[in-house]
Amino acid sequence: MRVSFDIGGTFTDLVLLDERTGRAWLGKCLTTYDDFSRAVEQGIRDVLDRAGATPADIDRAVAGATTLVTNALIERRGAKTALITTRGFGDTVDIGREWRYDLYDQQLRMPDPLVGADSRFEVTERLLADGTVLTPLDTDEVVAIAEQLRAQDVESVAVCLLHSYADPMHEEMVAKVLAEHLPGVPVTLSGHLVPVIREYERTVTTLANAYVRPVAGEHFAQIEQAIGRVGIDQTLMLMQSNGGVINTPGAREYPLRLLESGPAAGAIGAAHLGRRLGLDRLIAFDMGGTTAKICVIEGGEPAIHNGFEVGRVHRLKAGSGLPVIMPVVDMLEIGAGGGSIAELDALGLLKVGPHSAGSRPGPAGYGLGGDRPTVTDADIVLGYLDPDYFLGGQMALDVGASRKAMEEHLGAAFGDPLEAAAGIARVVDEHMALAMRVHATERGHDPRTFTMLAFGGAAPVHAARVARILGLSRVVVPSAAGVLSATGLLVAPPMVETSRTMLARLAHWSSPAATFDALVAQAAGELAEPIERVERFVDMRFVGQGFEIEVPVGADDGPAEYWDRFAAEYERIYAVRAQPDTPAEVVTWRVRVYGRFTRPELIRAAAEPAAETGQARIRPVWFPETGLTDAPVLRMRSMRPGEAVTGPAILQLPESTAVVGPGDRAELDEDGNLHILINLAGA
Amino acid sequence: MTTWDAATLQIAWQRLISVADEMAAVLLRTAFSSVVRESNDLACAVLTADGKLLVEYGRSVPVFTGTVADTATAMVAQIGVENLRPGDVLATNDPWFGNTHLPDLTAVTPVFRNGEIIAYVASICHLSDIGGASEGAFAQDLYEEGFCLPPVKLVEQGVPNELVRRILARNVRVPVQVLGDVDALIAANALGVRRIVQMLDDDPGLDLAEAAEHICGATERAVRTSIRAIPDGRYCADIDLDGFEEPKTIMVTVEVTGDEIVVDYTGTSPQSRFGINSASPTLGYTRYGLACLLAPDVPNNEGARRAITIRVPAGSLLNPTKGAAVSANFPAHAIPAVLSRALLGPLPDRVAAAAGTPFWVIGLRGEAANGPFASLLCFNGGQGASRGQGGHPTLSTPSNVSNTPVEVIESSAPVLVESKRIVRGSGGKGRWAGGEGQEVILRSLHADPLDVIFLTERIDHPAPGLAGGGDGAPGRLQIDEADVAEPKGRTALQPGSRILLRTPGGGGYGFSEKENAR
Repeated sequence: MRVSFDIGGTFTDLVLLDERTGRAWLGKCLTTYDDFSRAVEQGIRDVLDRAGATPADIDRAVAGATTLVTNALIERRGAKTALITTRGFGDTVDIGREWRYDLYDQQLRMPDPLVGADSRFEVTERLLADGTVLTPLDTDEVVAIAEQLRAQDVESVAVCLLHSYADPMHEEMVAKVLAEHLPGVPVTLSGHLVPVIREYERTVTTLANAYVRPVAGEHFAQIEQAIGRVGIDQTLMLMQSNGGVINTPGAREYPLRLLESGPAAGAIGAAHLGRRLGLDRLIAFDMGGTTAKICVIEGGEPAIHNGFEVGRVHRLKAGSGLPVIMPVVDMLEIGAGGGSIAELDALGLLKVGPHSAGSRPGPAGYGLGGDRPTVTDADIVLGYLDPDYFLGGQMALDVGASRKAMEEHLGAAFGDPLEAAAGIARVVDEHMALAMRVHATERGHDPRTFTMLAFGGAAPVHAARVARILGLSRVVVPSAAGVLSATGLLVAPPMVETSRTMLARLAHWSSPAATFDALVAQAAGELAEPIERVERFVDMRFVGQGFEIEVPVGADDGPAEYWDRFAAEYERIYAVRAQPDTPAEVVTWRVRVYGRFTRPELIRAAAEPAAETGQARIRPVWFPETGLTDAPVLRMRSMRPGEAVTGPAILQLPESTAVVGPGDRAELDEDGNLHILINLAGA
Repeated sequence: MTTWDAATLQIAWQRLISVADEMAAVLLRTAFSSVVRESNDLACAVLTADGKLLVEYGRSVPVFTGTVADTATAMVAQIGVENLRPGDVLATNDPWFGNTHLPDLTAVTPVFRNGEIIAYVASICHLSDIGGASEGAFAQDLYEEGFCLPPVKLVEQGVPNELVRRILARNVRVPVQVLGDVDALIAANALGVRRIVQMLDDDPGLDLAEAAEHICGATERAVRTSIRAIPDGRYCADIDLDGFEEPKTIMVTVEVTGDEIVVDYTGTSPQSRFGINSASPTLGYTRYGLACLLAPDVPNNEGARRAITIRVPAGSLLNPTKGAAVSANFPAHAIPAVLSRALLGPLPDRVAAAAGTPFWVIGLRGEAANGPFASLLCFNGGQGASRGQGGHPTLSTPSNVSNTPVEVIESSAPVLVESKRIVRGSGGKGRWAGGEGQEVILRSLHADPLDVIFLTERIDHPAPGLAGGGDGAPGRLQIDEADVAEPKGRTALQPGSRILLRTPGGGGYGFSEKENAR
């Protein structure tokens, strides 16, 4: 049996899987912020109990995802960190890239650097762009710096020297001196963590890793102890942002690789479900309380993007956070969720988000003191959410409060609350559709050929309408939507990704075997288990350009193959066919090295309570095509697989509500997933 | 038929903005020019069927957003709207058709539906090179500045105009890159056309002209509401600059009457013999500066212009005669600051002290072992302070160009950046201090003398503070510890020689507490 956990912001989810039968048991506990391992321990005990299993039945590594790394960075709860740079460049983190993310805001805010000026140290040394030494490292200076670091009680050190992507030798020498004079303090080297060009982003990334390293190490140790206390004699594997899992020694050294651990696990879970359903082109659509996330999955794999922005300080605006270079599942986050507040802006236009009522005071209809109209309030007024059966009946909704919020705040633009609610739903649905269309087309995909996988509290309410706007023909609401991330953890292989910048023009071809071999050797060391397969990639561009495209290459490919693969991908994405003689170059070399792994069969999130029965009720529900109309309200658990329901209809799920538009058809499959076929012809 | 309620208008507007944003993403990723990719020197826009600005890419360089519609309109008028066909792409870099300066190329593509033009999409980017002096300020007329392409069809009904391409390629130093930039503009516009056509396929009832009326009307109303809140009157200010052959002054009178504004630059210095004159950027930066002061939250479009009249005396620095050199039109960057100075009284919470503008430029050209190189490096000064917030150090204002990373600089040209530091204390003093500038020391590693051009400002005239705030520290430019005689000139940097540059600090805002106590 295998067990996995996903420590999220609110809940810690668990899945126990018996791979002999494919049967799974799901668990959920409130996340315990004082010591995250308590919820993990409690959760594992619970699922074992319910399965009638013992700790000894767990015969594989325990896999986990955690939000700790992101939290520590956003809330600035990391270690006392110091930065060592090349002499003359201690201000790099203050200078940044010098651009404004908002052109018209004269008072925009910028993120504070992770270390203040008094914890930044410069050392005499210099490499040139090709890695040759211009000025040797002055090791005496490093010894002196070590003394100062000790005096400042520094807990973690980041080293980022210019051009260390070309050769990390000077950084390694700094680490050696520090190990001798400052034993026990972890040191993160940029040339090992992210050997890629552009010093500002590389420095921020290295600092971020150093900043979270001590607290992450402690966190992993606590989880290992918790697993031990339960009595499980297995190692811990952790989900990285790129969708592969890594052992704890690797995670301890490079905790930043776990930055988007939970969302990556979710994407892997979604991809796995897609494979099982025979769908290889998916748009995963996760809409929660404050934000929505969109991820494109093609060929059973989520796309990986080499960059991420942490902790945006200004209205979620791109550019207002810390840029981190790290392979992360390519996910778009939009500031619109169920709790997003709708308001009329200075122009009298209806705006939804990015301000959110959160869970406290929450939407007006929660009756917890909120009085601003939100997306959830619109869903209540339109009849999508059942006032008496919200969250499976755990919470009653106040329809009057939702209507009142519409009247008070949006009355100037809309005649009545229903019109206002319809306006909110339209703005949100169109916003989501637009974001998905842009996200997909920018990557060279036609969204109409994709299936939407909708999960998270608010996504199934809006998915069918968003799909219709996009011209998408099918929406799937997974049966175990609430634990998709924890499921992903069970099916993710051990994987280590390494890369480095080394400019190489195809015209001056020399075999890349040595470059790739060195990357594989580094990755193998971190993987610490036998290699099953190696994937090779290069980031390429035409000479003179500044943006690269990642292209998979074979070990035996020559320059002609490199050029052809790159030009084909370039044309697919930008619709530009390059002249055949256009010179091209490789910028970054990358490998992904996979450990041995058998993907378990995960058949059904079983052990559901007995199917509920009950007569369908009828409720007035609003749709753009019909206006207010009577629609049946069904509990999904009372439906039989293969039995179709034609919309308009409302299907109540344990954790959400699926809205089925007029003419759309909904049915359950054998695994309990809900499929909604969109009636595009009748649109 | 569309009912234009608060939701419908919002949806159509956002979708149009996303078209411009997507166009920019293609341009940014496929262009070859380093100023485009590292410094974001570009703009993309959707225009109405009569050539008015409808939406722009959110991070466009401000100067373009005020000029792109005029350039497009002038180009279409020159070629004749009756001569446009689906698949045509028009282009020009001619400042006398509203274009900023020769290195920027504006490309416009008509969007046809059912045989009619329903919109235009336009893109601008700074090319890798344009021959002649290119960016240098030292040229004395337009002909010396580089190659000028009058409005032409760059593509005719989908077929590239090979004659134009050959002529252009022969007149620039790096032809492959420049043609790559041209293709990037064409690709960005092609994407814009596809997106708008799809938008109408999805919603055939949508009338773009009607949408434009509502969109521009909403912006116009917001701008007029802001203007009405300013008491009627004449608000005057001036600001001094280093200039080239002599110092220059920009004078402005902002006259507010009801919900209308007239901006008049009478009293501004006469035009320069050198390339620091500003033609269309005057309009771009005036519109941008007023947008920041009047309606910072409102997306920019034609509607923002309706309440604003701009008068610029002919033959002045801000409206030079035809044929004048305009390549380094940097004085225009001081326009938002002078408008802030004028409107301090009525808008104390919105104005900002002058920034250490414009960004400084070092252009490096030469021949290395692996071919020719041409690097344009940008260095920003400090931001001006405003009430309630100090200026950020080294932040591009009012333009928006990023720096080039040191590692990228050294990978593309034979130079060594020895240090790049913030000049502590270089922001103007005050209740809220101005942002600090930076000091960069750059040494030539080239075996031969290196061809270097400089674009600098505020070495003699610092960025003034506002409302009692102090001036920022002035800039400084030296070679081997001696001040450079022509800080907007061209020089041959000897092997091993060092350039030291210090960008100016931004002005402070408000009297400091100590001064208040006095």
